[in-house]
Amino acid sequence: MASPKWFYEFSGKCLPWVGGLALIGVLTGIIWGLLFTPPDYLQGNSYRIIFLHVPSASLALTVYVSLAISAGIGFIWKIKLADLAAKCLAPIGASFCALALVTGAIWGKPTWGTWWVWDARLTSMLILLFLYLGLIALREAITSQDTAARACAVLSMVGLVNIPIIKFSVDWWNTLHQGATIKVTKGASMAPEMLIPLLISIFAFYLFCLFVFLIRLRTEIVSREQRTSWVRGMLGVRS
Amino acid sequence: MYFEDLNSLISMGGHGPYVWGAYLLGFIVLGWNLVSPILHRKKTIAELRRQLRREGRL
Amino acid sequence: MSQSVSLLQGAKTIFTRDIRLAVRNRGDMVNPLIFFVLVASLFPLGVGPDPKLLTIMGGGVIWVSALLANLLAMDSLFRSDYEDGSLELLLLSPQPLWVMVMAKVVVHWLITGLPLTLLSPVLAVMFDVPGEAIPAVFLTLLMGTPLLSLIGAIGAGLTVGLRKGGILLSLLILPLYIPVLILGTGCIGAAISELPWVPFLMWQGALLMLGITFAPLAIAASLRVSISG
Repeated sequence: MASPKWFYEFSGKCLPWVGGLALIGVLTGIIWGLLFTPPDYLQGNSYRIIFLHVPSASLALTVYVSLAISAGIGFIWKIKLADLAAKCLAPIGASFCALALVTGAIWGKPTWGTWWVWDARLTSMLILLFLYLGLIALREAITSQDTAARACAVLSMVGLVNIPIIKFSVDWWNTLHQGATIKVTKGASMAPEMLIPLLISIFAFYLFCLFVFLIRLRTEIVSREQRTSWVRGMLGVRS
Repeated sequence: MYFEDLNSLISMGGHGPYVWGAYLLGFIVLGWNLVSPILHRKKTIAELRRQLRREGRL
Repeated sequence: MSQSVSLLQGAKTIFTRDIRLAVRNRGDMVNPLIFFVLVASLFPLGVGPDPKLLTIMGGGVIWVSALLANLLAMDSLFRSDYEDGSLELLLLSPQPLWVMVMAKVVVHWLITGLPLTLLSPVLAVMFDVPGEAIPAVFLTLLMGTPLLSLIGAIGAGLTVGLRKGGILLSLLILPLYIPVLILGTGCIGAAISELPWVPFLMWQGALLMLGITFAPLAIAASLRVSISG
């Protein structure tokens, strides 16, 4: 079932649906959030960045965990498809991690009066970005594809074990230096007219991620399976 | 719509530059995520076609 | 012909060999130490000699310098063995690789982490850390530096086959050092403000146990990836 050919054909059928739904979702979530929700009574209109910031931050973490798990599967059971998936996920996750950081900083300026505070969540996100960049750099540095995949698998699994420890220690570090930072006030409950577009936005960002991930993965499959007859047939070349 | 006119939508009560700046960056990231794999795919397939054709000629 | 060597004998051989190598190449041992003191002394030059400021910064500066010195020494952990081929022999040996690797990491700690720790009270005095807090500085480094060696060895294993491994190694490993840094500086900070600091040591000990359990497996895996692909 998990043969590359089967996956390629199946994902090809899903692709337009995922892409279309992602496009509709992203537009709905963002336009709703930007135009139709009332402003926050504390933060005014700046809170509208949330419809961008929260989905990216959530994706950044989810993508790293999925990356590490699929790299681990590829490492242990030697499944090529899982290796390729891990390779494709790294740039996507890194870009959303960077977006979460930048939007967090932009949001911080009107809210806290400064672009950057060493808030626990921002700091953890920064470290996560470093983990992503390390993975990408390691993959670029190794020429052999297989060795690169296995090396990245080891590194991402070590990173996965470390993420909860990093998260815990950064949270704790932040409470220790309470005086120097401003606590992010988090409303106990969000009003439904803000929550619904946020949920739509999160869902749509995940779909978008799946969409671009599938495009990347399909390219990798074609490139990896170039010697097989089905790829040659698809490319219209007689072998 | 929450905003009454275009001006209040753009200024967002003084937070306009932050909000619109963030969304601009957001669209750049989404756009890059969409365009770069498509370009990469086109390039890879074109290269493979060329390579396979060369091999077919041998 | 085959002569079986027991597990402990194998580890002991590696251990004495690496110790001997370190003693003969004295530079490998002394240079990280000089680097440690040098980096730490740059900070007062950079931020000014105000004793109050230095006391606050002291713990952090000592820890960051220890981190960097450890990283500097990390690059050479497997490098010379890789270049002369003995690393491949180690991988081919019938003894489980993680035991052999553990012996190498222990030696690495003995020649870098331990001297750093022994030297740290001197630096603490130079940074005006109060006398009561100096045991905390010493003990937290004693507890934390083995973990640095263990984590660093994973990165050293992954980058050993690469020509420009040094800078990449720091990119891979420094983010993973962060929890150790936070706990270490937290411990010193607590001691300076006369709060209980032993719990920090216990947390570091817990992380060290975790490291001793899992890191050797990861180091062995990373070496296998680098050598045999």
